[in-house]
Amino acid sequence: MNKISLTVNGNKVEASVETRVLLSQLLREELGLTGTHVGCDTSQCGACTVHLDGEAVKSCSVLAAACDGAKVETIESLSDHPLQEAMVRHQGLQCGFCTPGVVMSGLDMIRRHGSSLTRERIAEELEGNICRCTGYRGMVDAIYEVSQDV
Amino acid sequence: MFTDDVKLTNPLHVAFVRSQIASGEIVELETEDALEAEGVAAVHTGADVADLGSLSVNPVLPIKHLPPFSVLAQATVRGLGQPVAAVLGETALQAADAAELVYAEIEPTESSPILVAEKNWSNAQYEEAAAKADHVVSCTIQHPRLAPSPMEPRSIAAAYDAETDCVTVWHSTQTPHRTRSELAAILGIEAKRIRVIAPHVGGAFGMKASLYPEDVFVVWAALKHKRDVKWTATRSEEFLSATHGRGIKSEGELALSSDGTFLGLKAMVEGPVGAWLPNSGLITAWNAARVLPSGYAVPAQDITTQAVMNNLGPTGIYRGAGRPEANCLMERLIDKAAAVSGIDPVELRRKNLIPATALPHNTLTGNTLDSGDYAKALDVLCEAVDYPALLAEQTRCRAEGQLVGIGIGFYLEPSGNGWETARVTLNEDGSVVVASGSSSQGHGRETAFAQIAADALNIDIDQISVLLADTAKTPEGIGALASRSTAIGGSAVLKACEEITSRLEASEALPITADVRYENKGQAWGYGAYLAQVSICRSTGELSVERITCVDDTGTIVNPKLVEGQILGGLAQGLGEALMESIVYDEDGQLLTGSFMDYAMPRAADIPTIDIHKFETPSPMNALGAKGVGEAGTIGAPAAILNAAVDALRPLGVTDLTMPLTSQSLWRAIRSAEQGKS
Ligand code: FES
Ligand code: FES
Repeated sequence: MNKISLTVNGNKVEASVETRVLLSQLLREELGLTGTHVGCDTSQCGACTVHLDGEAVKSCSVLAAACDGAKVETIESLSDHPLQEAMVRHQGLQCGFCTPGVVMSGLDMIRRHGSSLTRERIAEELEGNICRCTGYRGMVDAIYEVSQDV
Repeated sequence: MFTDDVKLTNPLHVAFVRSQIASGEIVELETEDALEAEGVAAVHTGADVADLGSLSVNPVLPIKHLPPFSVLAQATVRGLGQPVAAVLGETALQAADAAELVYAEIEPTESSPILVAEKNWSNAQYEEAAAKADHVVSCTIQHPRLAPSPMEPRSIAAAYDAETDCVTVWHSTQTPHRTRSELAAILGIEAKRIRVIAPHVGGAFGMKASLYPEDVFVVWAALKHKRDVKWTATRSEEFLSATHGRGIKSEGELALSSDGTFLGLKAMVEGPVGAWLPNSGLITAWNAARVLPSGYAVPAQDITTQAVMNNLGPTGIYRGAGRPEANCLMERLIDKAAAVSGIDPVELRRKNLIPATALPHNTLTGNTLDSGDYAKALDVLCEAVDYPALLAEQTRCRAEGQLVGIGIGFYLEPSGNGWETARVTLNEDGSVVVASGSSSQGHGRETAFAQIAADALNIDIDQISVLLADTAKTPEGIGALASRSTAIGGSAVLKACEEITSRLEASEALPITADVRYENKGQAWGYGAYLAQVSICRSTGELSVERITCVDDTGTIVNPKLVEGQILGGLAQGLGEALMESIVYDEDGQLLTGSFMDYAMPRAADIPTIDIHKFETPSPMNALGAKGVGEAGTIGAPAAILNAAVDALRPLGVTDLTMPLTSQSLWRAIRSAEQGKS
């Protein structure tokens, strides 16, 4: 067992975890933050994307034990963020399962590129987020729109 | 909230031990070590569930051999990945660890395909027609086997209530009412002991239309151990044991006269089924045949379909479910006919499409094509793309040596038949509750139903709440299948609202509740035409789709944005089939594509420019006039892209290609065509 302490969505959290436990499992099962979704077991789908020390990571590819002292932000840290609102307006989601990951990835893109983001760039960077429902157009539009207001 | 997010009380977690052999006899099943492992409550094998009943199968084709439905394999294993044992652990990790300790020795056995169902429709004149024909073209299409891959894997959670000896089941399903009635039948208990809730469902696409053996086990275990039990599949388990789609092989022959008039069609469809049949296990083979000959007038027909059991994964309906296969065969045959007769592909289609004045039209395969103007879809399409200019541009590019193709796919999309329910209540405070027997997996059904009720009752949409997918709160219903929910479920809502209006006019006091079971008059047939423009790199074989233009007649549209969402999403899946997706097994029947690392899914950058055009011819078959649109993109896109790819390589002498159109397969086609020439 590994004792870790980290900050999740601004709250101090202490946990003791088996070495093999993934950050996604810690968030969902120990902390009840079920907004982070798990869609695969090979780090391909991106449904589990969160921000770790300010950068987007797939939480299923990070060991919880390695997050001692880290700052983690999940989809639950946002409420009525302009990107969430834009996702709804542009029909960027249907079933909503991929959505938390897409939003966290989108925010990371916006942080890194700001208003220099293009639709092509967004589509390329969404490589790590699979959506089976929407055909992606709406989410690209939503991320693009919000990036232009930065 | 999705099913795996449901908070249960101290639940047991299930891990399944799956057969690594596709066909065999269980000679030894050693469970003691697993049972002794930390945190393990129980380990079950086939003997424990031998008495359970079977899943019902929709007999759309006459069944010759019904494969057995086993919750856990009995003495025999009939499919790769079939569960042979199940471990119940206090945590998911403990269950998974203990599952590793179960020793299953399975002796491989030889197996041969078994004919499960078969049907032929023929008016016995095909050979005659072919003999008289100026041209006879033929084509064989082997559709790739596809993983539907909703992003949320299968998931089920059962909460046991000791006081009542009942279970509440959260299930990631399209058909919560069916989950309840099938569970009751299989477990041999009264349905009233089971409440089923389908919370948010993270996509389904046909793959979550039926109960799985794993689902039955979870609920059985909850009742047996009198505890909460849950299971969520891993993605690898989905590739291995959730139902696959397509995989259909269709062969066809089209006879025509020199002026392009179609004289006859002969088709042979073979659909694979796995070790067990889901409810809709025969639908695909049925649709792939009975949607022929699409919207065209063909006097002589001889159409056969077979469902054949093998030992690969189970198969079921996947968005389109036979419609893409039927339409693709027809559209490929027509392009071949255009090539041999020298008639323009659009012209040839227009000439043979059933005219609007001849609708409704009864087909040999037992359908009634209800309404519409098929040729208009082509007209709108040609206008939208400026077809003559497109052809001129292609000629110019070809002269420069570029490999560019234009492909058309006309399609028919029958939507489901039958009934659905609605219970609408108008309360004293003016608020309205719409409860429907249907369900939603991100289709936006809540929005569409609220809109229908708001319009019918002439009230603000904010006053309306919609209840779906909870067997305790909604009337018994069918669910989201076969693009039927807006047409039939929406019509039920409309009828219930109309009843409320007339009861209000008769001065009835509030609250008023109207319960409606609406049955449509027949299937509503949506249709449309897609055009794909592609280019192929001569040296690498890489195909790029430059643009796809869609024209759909979806009948009366309730919400244009939702319709567009369905078309775009379906189109991405159709593009996936055409260009990249394929489940592959090796010679020993082992699965090579067991994860998203090996199974290519369309990503954002794969999506081309898409132009959507629509017009509305209301269907006379339901009160709303709606037609299905959920499957349009999966039908129109592959046919159009495949035709465009063959068209691009036609100057090299290529006449056939097989999906998925990967760079490798196109590179090979180009190289062998070039070698054949030199
Ligand atoms: S769950 Fe992390 S990438 Fe799929
Ligand atoms: S909205 Fe369903 S997977 Fe993206």
